[in-house]
Amino acid sequence: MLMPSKVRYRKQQRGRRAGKAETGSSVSFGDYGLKALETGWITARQIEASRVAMTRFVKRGGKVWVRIFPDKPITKKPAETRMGKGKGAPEAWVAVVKPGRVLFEMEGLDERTAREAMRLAGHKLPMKTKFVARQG
Amino acid sequence: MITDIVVDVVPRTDLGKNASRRYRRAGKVPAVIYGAGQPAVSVLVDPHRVDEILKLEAGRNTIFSLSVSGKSEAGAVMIKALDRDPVTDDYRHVDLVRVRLDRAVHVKVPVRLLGLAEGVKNEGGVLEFVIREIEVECLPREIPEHIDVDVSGLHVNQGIPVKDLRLKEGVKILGDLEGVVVVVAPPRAEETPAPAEGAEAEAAEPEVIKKGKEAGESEEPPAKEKSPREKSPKEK
Repeated sequence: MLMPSKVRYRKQQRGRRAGKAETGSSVSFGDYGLKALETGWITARQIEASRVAMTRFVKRGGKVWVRIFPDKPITKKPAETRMGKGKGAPEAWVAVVKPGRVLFEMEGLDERTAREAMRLAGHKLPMKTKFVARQG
Repeated sequence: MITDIVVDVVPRTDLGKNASRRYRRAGKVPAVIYGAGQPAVSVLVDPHRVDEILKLEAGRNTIFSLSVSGKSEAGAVMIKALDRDPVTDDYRHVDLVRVRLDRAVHVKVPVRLLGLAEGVKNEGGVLEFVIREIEVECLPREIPEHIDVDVSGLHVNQGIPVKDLRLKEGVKILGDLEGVVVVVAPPRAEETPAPAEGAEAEAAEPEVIKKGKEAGESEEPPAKEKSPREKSPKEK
């Protein structure tokens, strides 16, 4: 699964997620893309599940780009633990996604196949998404 | 491509984000006209007219005329930049640049692929379209609508570099000539089964970058790490 190779700090605060994605909001590498319509955290596991769903459906041919990277550590306290005693242990890595962000891109496929592959990938994600094509 | 399209625009006096948002709500798009040594003019444009221009074969490189409040403005313009909403794709702002027909312009021309590559049809390769737009310098009258590239003869691991593109006279390619426009990549290897997702995979943590100089070579001894409670507000 995706995660940074080096980090400066093991734990982070949650941060804010206001606004829309300004960078990474257009299809830049492939012909088709999957765009997020809501804000959220996408875990490395969800990214991998989406990628696998796409590549399994396509079987052969086509190229996939993952345009997001989970670089934010999320901590969690163990179950049935009293509050306090410091921040919990790192549990997962997430990518912070804002509305308009292109999550995946595909190339080398017809639109119908790409649309279906993106639909399957979108079902693995915790937000509404839409299929987009490159603008001329 | 020079067209005889005339787009009506209305000058706007209210500037700034509040006024611009009001205009957008009213179905107009704020725009600016500049270039050719003349002062910039802030205007409003109908988004449907922008759509019509972008749907033409030449797309952004279409040269058209403007009619400011019913009076046709001398000179041609083209779309220089477009700002769109990342979610709805509505136009937020349009930059129009005045074009002098006797002076060369720098424009990006889309590359159009022709045919189906041999390496894709028979050898299972994947066509990778690397450079989709080529920046060229030419007179406005000579801007090509697209640059055609025939890929039908390409086998796996073969590509077409920028320098091999055929352009009409008067059109000069800018930028790197060694770049590859299109390449047929070998077929993708079958997906290897992912390692068992267990506690082992979850436990792996990235390396934490240490602060300060390494191996104690610094003149001062490394500062003792303080717990968050000991830190004063000034340190933050």
